[in-house]
Amino acid sequence: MTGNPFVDFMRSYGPSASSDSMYDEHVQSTLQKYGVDPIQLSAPLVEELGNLLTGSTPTNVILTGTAGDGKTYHIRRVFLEYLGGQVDDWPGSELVIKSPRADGREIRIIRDLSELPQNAKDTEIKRITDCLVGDDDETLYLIAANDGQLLEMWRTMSEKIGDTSSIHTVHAALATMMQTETETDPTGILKLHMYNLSRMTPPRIIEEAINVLLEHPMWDTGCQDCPLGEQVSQCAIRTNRRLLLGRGGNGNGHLFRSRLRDLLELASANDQHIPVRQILTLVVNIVLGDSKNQDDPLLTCERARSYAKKRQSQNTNPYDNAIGENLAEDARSRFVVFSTLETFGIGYETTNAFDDLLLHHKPRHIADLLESIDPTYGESIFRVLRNSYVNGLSGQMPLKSFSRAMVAQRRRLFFNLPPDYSDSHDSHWMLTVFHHGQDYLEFRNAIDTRTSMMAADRTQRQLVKGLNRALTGMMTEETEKLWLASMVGNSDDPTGRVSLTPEIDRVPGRGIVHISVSYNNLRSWPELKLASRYHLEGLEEVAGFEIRPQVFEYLLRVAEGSLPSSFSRQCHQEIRHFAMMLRQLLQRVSQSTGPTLDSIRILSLDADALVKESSIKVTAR
Amino acid sequence: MIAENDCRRLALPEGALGLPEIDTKTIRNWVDFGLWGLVFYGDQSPWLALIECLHILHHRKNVSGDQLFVPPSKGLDGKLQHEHVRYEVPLNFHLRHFLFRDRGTAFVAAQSARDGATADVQWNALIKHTSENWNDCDPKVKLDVGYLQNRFEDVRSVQQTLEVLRSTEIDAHTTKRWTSRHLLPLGPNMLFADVRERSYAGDRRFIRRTGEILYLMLGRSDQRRIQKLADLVDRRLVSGTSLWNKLAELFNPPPNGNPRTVRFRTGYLPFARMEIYDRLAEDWIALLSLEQRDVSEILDGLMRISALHQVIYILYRAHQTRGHDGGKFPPFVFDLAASARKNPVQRIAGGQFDNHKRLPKHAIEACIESFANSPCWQDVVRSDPSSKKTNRLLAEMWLWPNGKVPSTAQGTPADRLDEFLTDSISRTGHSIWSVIANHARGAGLVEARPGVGTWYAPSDAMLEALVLANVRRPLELGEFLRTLYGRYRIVVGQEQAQQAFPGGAMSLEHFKRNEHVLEDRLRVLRFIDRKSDACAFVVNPFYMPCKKTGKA
Repeated sequence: MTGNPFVDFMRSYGPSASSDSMYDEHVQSTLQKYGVDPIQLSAPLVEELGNLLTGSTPTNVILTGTAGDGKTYHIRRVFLEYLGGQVDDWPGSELVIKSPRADGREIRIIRDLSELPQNAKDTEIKRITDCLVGDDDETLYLIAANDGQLLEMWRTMSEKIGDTSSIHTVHAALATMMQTETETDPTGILKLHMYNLSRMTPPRIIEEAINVLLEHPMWDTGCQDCPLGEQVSQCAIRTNRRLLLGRGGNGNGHLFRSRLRDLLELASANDQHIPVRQILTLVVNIVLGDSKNQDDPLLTCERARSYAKKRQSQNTNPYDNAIGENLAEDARSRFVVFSTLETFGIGYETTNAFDDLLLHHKPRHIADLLESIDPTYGESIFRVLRNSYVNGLSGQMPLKSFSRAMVAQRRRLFFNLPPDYSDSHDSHWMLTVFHHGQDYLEFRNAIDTRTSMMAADRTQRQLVKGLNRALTGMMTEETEKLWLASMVGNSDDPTGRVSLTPEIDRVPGRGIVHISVSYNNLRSWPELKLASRYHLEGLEEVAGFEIRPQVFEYLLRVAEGSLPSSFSRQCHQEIRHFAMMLRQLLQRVSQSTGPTLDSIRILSLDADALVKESSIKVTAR
Repeated sequence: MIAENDCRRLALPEGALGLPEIDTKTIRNWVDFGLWGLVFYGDQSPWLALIECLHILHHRKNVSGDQLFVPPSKGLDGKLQHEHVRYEVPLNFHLRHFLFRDRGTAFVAAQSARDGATADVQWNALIKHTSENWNDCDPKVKLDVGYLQNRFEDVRSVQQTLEVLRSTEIDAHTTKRWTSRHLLPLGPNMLFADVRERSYAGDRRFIRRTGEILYLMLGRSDQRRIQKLADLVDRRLVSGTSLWNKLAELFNPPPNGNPRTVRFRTGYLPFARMEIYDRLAEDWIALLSLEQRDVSEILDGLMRISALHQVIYILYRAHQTRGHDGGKFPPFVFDLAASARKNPVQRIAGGQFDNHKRLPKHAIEACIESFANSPCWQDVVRSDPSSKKTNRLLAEMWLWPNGKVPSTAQGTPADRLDEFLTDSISRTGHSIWSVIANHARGAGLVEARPGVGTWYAPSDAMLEALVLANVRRPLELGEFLRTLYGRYRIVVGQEQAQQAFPGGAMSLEHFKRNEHVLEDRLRVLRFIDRKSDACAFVVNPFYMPCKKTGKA
């Protein structure tokens, strides 16, 4: 039976077990097989690389990144678009592709350094080393390699031939560059530009992935001959595509995809990197996911037709597909995109308002709105279970399937609730473990763009309060001053009521130092640091406190009076390290600027739950 | 194994330094002490070992004004001589009385505050209470704490200060006599001699030379390191600038004569040079160089790392005594999951711990066996196998049984030797293998569960100490694991398991899993910076690289 060839093509991007190292090749042959035009995501780096290699002062280039970041993809495009490579020569039989430059120098292109057989690898590593340290000017390299393997190769080589060689120099420089995330060697020894593609995939790429995959012209042409005919609107594939594209009308806009993007933004700010290949997998899985058969978890046109005829839609729920519910557990865990989205616990958290909305349709207009946005995965699959529960017939149905259905419905809420709902009710983030997800995104944006500073100020106060509570162990309401309280020594109880240093002002005030929140452009998160009117030695060197969603959530919840247990230890450790460094800094500052610290402050709360100190002078009166 | 040149003197290992002047009257069996040193004491916790070491350092810095460390030097005969280190430890009993014996200050402070008494009345109440309380405990000495009035604003601050100082007690969970309770050693005023309750005489009940050995080990590290170490110890540990030390100082009575001290003299550590000393010193240097951490937050790491090195020393010497390369003692296997359920790494870690505890016994057996084959023993047995002569030889070389048994005891020389061996390896209580167990526990190297036993499973604090001591520039996780194996013979991951147990039948998968758990734990501790699925660095946020070099 016929089907849309684009669906088959999409399946090749799905969560299948196709070989990682050959992924780019695999996609190329699939394109030909289904006669689909290549899909292209923007890759601004291609141009930069091309210019770097063809320009008048070319340099060696290494691309690193996680599997799926598109290393081979970039290299292929540079080869074809800038270095005059022919499609037929790619990938070719040689593991090293040679491409001459006009000035006679040779560019050696290696798609995957680790693929080379041992002897060739050793020779190549030596040659690359010569080029990197400038001993060989005649050759340039364009290399893709996994960062861990890269270090490993140079380390083993340096062990083989001794520490004194340039191999060792290169190893040390590469390690430093990777760790500090610098693209060029700060010591200036290496002639190299190294790009970590993992840092170059912004979460917003999902918007592009959705457009490229779901607005492909073959959606119009490929479905024309569908045997469903008039009933084509019942097709789960087309339904899910429509929901994700967000053309449902009724002011729905693009909620589903923008919520997905928000999730990816938070994941990224929590330092969980999702390669672009898995972003594509995510989009494919949302549209094609089918939970009926975990061995073949993606729809075909044929299966979609069969579901449409039977009016079956419970197996193709796109909100469940978004977190990989259609996949077997071990398959899911192989995909960082699904395991990451799973950690948000969407639908496992809730409030009375949400459950009222689901069970009793309160408020009515919201319930109706949700039905009109998505008439497929709401009442039509939930009605029976809901009614028996509401009417007290729950004894007749397995509780497990009811709670599973509730979770799925809450997930649907998360992806569809209109933004103004949270104004009068709860934020949709209350359906996740990141209750303050929205606050985080707004705070981050405010710090980044220096807008909405009033709101950012409010949040900052809460953060200071959370820090004070975490550090003093007291339920203080203090939002204007930060107290670096401590127990002495590495006591098991990390909170203390003693401070050796004076309090720190939240905003510039009488004290020498104050808190300052700035935006880390490289990593896209706000950072809390100390600042001063004066020039203070060492102030710049203390690493900032990275305000990432996890620690943000922790501090805000602590400020509200509850203690999330799941990640509190890690967050507390982070706060402890930061406080230790600040204390040392302040002690150093006071030693150099005088007066030396001469009292120990014992902290307690006053009637307003603000921190008050009684200090004990350590010098005899 | 044993220097055999003189059958009339105490047996010492070959190549060991001669004995310094020490009193051997109370020693009933010399075997341990000759092999490892005088003395590793099982009842001395790692904290008390560190404190004892600081007793010496403080004395040299603040009392005698000597160089902090003196390595063995050449004597008139051209041979290296063992150090003679004498030191005095302050009693500081005013503060100790308040902290650990008289808990009434809080009561006095609270009561007089409630009664709305004037400051003078409160002070008088405190002075009266203290002198009475002291008198009850110690009628011979008078205590007048009127001087506190010049140092504190009111009685309440006295009480608050005491509370704060009490929070710095180490090993606070143990119940010991008040004269054996100690504070974090942040300065001379926070150092207390361990003494008898009434006579204040040093009795080495809990502090018995393990820290002196630590001091000697540090002092014998190579010359390149010793100066750096001395500078850091001077600046960060013994300068007494800590606010806490100044706080404690407020309780010192006004100077009217010399403060009371107790005198000691260090023990014996056989070898002048060992690589272990250098590594110990390196770790001290690394920890004390962490300028972004207050010294009060470094002591914990020093305590743990020092205990680890002392355990390694014991294992090294045991392995060496059995005729092997000491550096190749059976490795530590760290179980990071600290779970005994379906966890093969746990079983191996437990097996290694048991091995380690047995190692000193085997060493003692080997030592006595080699003595049995030595000319000293053989000559006596051949020439005159009377029990008188064998007993004398055993007494002279091994201080055994040192007067306990009449020298006319019956039995053949072989019987005597058997008795000697049995006594040496069956001693209960404070033996060298109990040092391994107690140090390992105190340092957070092991986990113990009923029904499972004890196995190597590091605590978070121990992991932290290892990171702080070994990571300067970011180390790739694999490199960190290699460092742990190279410097301490600690096995965590696959690669090290393979090296440590070549041809072993164990599944390496489990070690891979172990490695992942280590990464998870280091992440929670904030010491991991993962860059991609294939690359993670162990980082030390407290290390500030030198500015001038620009790179680590």
